[in-house]
Amino acid sequence: MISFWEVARRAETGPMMKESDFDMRISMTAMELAKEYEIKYDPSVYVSSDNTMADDVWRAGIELLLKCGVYNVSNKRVITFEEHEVKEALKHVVSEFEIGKGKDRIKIQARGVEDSKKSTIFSGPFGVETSLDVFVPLNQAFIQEPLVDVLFHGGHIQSICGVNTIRANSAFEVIAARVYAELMNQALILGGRPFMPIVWGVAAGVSSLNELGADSFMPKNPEDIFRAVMFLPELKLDDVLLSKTAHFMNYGYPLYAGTTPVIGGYAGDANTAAIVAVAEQIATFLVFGAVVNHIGPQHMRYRSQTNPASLWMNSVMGQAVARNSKLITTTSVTTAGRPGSMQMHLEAAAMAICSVVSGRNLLGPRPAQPLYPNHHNPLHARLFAEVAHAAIKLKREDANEIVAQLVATYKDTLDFDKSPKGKTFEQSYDVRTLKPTEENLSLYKEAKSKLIDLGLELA
Amino acid sequence: MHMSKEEILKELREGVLNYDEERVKKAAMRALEEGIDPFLAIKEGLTPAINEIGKKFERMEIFLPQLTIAAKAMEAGVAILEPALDKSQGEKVKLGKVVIGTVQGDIHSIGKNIVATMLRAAGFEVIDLGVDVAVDKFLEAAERAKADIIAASALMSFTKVMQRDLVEYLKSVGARDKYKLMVGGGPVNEEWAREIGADGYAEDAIKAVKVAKELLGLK
Ligand code: B12
Repeated sequence: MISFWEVARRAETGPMMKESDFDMRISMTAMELAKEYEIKYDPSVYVSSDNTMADDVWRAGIELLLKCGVYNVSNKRVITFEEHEVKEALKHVVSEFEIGKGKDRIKIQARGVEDSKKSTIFSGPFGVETSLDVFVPLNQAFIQEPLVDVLFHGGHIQSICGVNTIRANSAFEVIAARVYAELMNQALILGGRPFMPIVWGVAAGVSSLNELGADSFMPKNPEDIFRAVMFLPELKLDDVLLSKTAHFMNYGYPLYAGTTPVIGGYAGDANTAAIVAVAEQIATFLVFGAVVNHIGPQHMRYRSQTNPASLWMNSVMGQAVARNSKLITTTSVTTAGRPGSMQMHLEAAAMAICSVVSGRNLLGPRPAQPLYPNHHNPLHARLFAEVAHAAIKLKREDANEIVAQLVATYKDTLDFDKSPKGKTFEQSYDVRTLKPTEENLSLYKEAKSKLIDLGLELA
Repeated sequence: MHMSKEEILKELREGVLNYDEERVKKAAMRALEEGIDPFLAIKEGLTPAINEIGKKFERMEIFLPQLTIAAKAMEAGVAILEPALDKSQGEKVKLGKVVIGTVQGDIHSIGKNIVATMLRAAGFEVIDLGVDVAVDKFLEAAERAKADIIAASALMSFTKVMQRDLVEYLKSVGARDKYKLMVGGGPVNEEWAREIGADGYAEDAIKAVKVAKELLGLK
């Protein structure tokens, strides 16, 4: 299979073009391919059952990747791939991967459409500003959720030592990243899962500097920690990303790679975005040799991932990849409803069901627009995981019906100014005992019984 | 063959609506040949078409690629008609100059690109500085272009503080009053804009055009 060193070499020597021309090349090629393969978005469908369309989207995705390549925005060069390289690489896909130690060692697998294998659950307080006083309890509460298999990003330290907002590339990023490593260790030990696998992400600030700032104090062995590398949508990367990848490879970390194709952006409508997403899914594997390949079905207008177009796109591209490859994949779930709201439970359930029957593993859920520091709630992860495990019994048609009913409950309140504001971790949990409040627990139970009424077999 | 004014205006409109840059260029040249007032050609041919495109975009009937192509077609038409405008008309057509960029530390570009595209389509001249733009680069570009508006995008709660830095920098070097300052991006809202002392805020690209016009006293 093509090596990362070879990809990095092509990033130095590939043909040059303007970034805006590359963006438009992606758009135009995806539109041509959608026409050629007659791939149309049907807004009345949330979970597709169309195998032919899935296979066509797969072929179109490969064609798009071969025609367009991957763009390095740092030096304006295109990394191109040959058809035989893609075919050959797909034969070397890792379809099963073990990670973690002792009782927390897990096996992550490639999943098929309507597969009875359980989906691996990645979850954590990622993307949300986390204050130092709550950092350990919040992460510990996630770690103590037995259905969370892999902890994903421990939250974001934004203020430290009297600095209210850590600026990118400032010294405080590195200081905070070092503190993050310390606190993550504590949370894992206190949570009783010291060797739980993790995806180690942005700790503080936003530059890549901080990610490397804590390397020598990260818990355990590199082989138990995924490092995250994300394309820029659509099909773009930069020198920093390539450098980080080289560093992670040099130190033996497995990679969790992904991207967030944006429906309505250069990826176009849901049909063309599905094609682009397939190309990206293959490209993250080709470029990074990633073990886990992730897609966040983002939407330009909603800025969250549970809207009808994102659901459809996720189901179609997911089935395309699951039917035609052995890639281990995840879908991320960002919701418009915020933590501690019924809407967040139901949105997360809709995307979990859609993804599981479409052959994917799961990451999330998290609020697309957190409003406060510590705006997270591990009970959402619990129900999300339970729903995911119940969904392995569903056929796609049944999944579509359940998802349709779920979407009906929240489709009119997807805009951020209408979606529920929710509650912080401190308002939803006793931060000392790490028990959810009565109110939080009864919301969880109420959501669960709604889902049971819709036909899910939840215990 | 002779073409009537109505036919040419229709061609301009249809060219934009059909994303056909060549058709717009041809119609614009034809307008000049037939002695049609270039101001009218822009105002009644191109502008209504791009407004319609903007509405379609807002309704999610079309997406960023179509918007970009239509805006490019419109610009190509304006580029042909503009030299023929007399001075007072020229001032009315070019609404103003905007320097736009995403703040330092932040590489999110999609929202900023859409705002830039919509501003261009509306008739602003836009200088796009890209992403990760330091405060002094905003000012340098604004000085060089003699801009009217500086527009700063920030997509993360941890980078929106750079919008405040931008205000502080402009004040420190005595340039704050020379430009109108507009801010936007996911974590930004009216309240934040007021707090840091920006002149305008808009939650999306369509409203950004409206706000930019208001800032320059255009209706
Ligand atoms: C795509 C994306 C990325 C892409 C960006 C690629 C690119 N070329 O832009 C990539 C993968 C690179 C990326 C990286 C990161 N991202 Co990001 N990203 C997003 C995502 C999914 C969508 C953003 C987007 O394009 N939206 C669509 C556009 C159309 O909307 P918009 O930008 O808001 O723009 C509209 C308006 O805001 C307004 N507007 C915008 N700018 C301006 C300017 C002016 C003057 C005006 C008037 C109006 C205006 O008009 C626009 C059009 O209507 C958001 C999620 C979200 N909910 O938005 C996260 C998000 C912004 N990212 C986030 C994070 C944390 C990161 C990373 C730190 C993560 C990481 N693991 O590396 C890095 C940071 C890198 C860096 N240094 O900047 C967080 C920020 C959280 C926070 N606390 O604020 C978000 C909110 C996701 C989340 N919920 O956690 N990201």
